[in-house]
Amino acid sequence: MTIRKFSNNSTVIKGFNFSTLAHLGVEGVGLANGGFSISLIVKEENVEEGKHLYVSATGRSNAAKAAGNGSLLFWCKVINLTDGREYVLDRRKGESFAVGFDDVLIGSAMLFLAKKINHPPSIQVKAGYIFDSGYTGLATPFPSELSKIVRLKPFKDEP
Amino acid sequence: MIKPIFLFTVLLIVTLASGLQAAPVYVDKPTAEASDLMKQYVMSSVAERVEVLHRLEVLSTKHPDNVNVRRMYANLLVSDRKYDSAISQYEMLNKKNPRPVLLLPECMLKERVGKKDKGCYQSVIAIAEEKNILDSDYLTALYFADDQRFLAEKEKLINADKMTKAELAVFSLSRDRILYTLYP
Repeated sequence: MTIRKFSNNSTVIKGFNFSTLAHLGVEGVGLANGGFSISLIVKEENVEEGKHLYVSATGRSNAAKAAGNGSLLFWCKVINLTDGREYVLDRRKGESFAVGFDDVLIGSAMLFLAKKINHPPSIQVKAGYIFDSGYTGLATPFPSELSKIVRLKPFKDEP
Repeated sequence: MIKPIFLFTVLLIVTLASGLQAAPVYVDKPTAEASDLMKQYVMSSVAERVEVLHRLEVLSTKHPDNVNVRRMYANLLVSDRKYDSAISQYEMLNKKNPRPVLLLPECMLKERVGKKDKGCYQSVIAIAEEKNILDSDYLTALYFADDQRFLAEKEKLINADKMTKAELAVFSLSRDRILYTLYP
């Protein structure tokens, strides 16, 4: 996991990179090229009532290149561990992103974490991909998803 | 002057062509249905996944000889951590026409559930060598079979620019670490 960070008094922007080895049951891919990584940008802004959160993500894998055909459909979900609600990252009209050459854009989500006393704010990130051969159907890697907990800056006025 | 019938024909062809491009290109209808269920499964909640998996099971029972449908069903059983059921599906898939790409997960799952079968990996190696498919699955089978040719074959793949050292770095991990990461 790698982290980059920018912050001022109320806003913090962090970048995360999570990766996992994986096996994709497609000829030419297997264990050597089935692995994948997810890059996340998490922007958090503390307000009196809690915290506004903006999460965007891109995915990356060599699987389609190694297979020589097909496409990768990346997905990512964020779970607010304060209330258990789940958010699916998607692309909204009018939104633009800067992505690298080998990155696959997943999208973004906005959520609000209501302040809870003695409950440090955190989110769970789940992500993975689906390989679409376009002829013989789909395949997902093993493991089918990576799951990570991201701990956030404490709520306003909390140590 | 361009005749209206000519314009109509051109428009019809363009419309049909664009329609064909957007239409699913799966080999048959059951494959398309199973693909749709897989997408649904991935984005479903834990409770909804039970129903989606059941629908895929029904589809594979309805089309017992459709390899694509059964492969996708086995794939989702692994995702759902139903390893014993997944092994049964892979055994069915590999009974008639075993291929390294489907036989290797069967071998690894068996080892994961404590039923290590060295002969299974050796079958993957034999089929791969017979068909001259010397790729990641072949190397993985050599690794898990503790085959003495592993290091030499790994070097061959790197020297032939078929794979990079970075891609093959996974084999520096222990077999348990790999198995438990792939099949938690």
